[in-house]
Amino acid sequence: MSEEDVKEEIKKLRNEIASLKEQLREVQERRKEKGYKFYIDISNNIRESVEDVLESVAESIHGELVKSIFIGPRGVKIIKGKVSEKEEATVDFSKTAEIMNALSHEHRLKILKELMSGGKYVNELQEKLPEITTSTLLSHLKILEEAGLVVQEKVRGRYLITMPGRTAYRMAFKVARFVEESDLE
Amino acid sequence: MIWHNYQLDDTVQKVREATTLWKAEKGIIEISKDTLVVLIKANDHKIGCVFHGDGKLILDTIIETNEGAIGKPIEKEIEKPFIMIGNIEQVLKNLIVANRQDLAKKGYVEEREFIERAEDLCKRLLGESTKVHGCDTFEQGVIFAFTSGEISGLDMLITKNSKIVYKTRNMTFISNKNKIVLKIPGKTVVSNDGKSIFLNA
Repeated sequence: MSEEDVKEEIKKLRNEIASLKEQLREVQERRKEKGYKFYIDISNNIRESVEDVLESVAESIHGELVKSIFIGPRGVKIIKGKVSEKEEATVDFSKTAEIMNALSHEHRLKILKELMSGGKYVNELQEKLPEITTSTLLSHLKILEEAGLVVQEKVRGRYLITMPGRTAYRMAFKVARFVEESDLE
Repeated sequence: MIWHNYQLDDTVQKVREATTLWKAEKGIIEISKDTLVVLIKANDHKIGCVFHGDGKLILDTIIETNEGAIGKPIEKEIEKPFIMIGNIEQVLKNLIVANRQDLAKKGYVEEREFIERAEDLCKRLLGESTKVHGCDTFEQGVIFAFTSGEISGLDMLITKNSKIVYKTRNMTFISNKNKIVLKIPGKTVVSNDGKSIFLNA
């Protein structure tokens, strides 16, 4: 898909939004005519906010595509940014140390492993990890949550692994594999 | 007190017991016992309320993606007055007239002070020129408008069935089942059933 095609797609999407807005306006007009029950027309305020978000999303997608995709004669190539020496020098390891600390228990690694397949309730984790008592499990989950590796939904109560949590688990998995292979040698 | 087609009730009431105003898979809004209430009416229909008491908003503004969860749950104490427009049957069953002591707990000497504050909040939500239209659009939906700190804008939560729009100064969360858009400073995430696009500002 060329840059022109992307622009064309965005143009089409904008036209669709305009058409939907028009349809919505017509529906509202028809409903006004019926004259029963009530609603509050604060829609302009909210509709504009939502439209702003959607437009900024469309523009950002366009910007990201232009920045990161090179379309050459042999097809599409994804351009990956390299870590510069300057970036490497300014890395803050304190958060990393906190994450490493959270990973430094077999039970916590097992919990992350279970969460890799999707969000789980405490009782589901307990079924999967019967060797850990409820209180210990909750204590481990608290440590993982404080390190930002898991997050708990407040309404449903499920625990979910976060993006840093997934990365940390993959790293731990690679280290485990490396150690196993080294032991074999 | 008539303001366009809206009218605020001239009696301040309170809820007899803690009440859940909204509950869904991703969020809850509750108010505690003795929360002050003034009804919003339109042509004798009770279409909403302004509350002032100790409330709580919980909203899981989290996106579960294939690359891990993004976002954090929101858990806010609602101590300032806020508006609810929509089905208020649950509240109506639970109301009694508030007395001077109830008003004093929230810093009001007389009913009029709370009603004026409620009026001001309604104006901030609806604007001077907004009118009530005859329509059934909002039968199943609910609008909440919260005062957000010292800033003049309001935090809005609009919900209908599984659809949620939550808009504050710093974030926008739009959710319909597994389709979610989360916009926070510096980042926008668009997700559809776990498949996501991350955009950094």
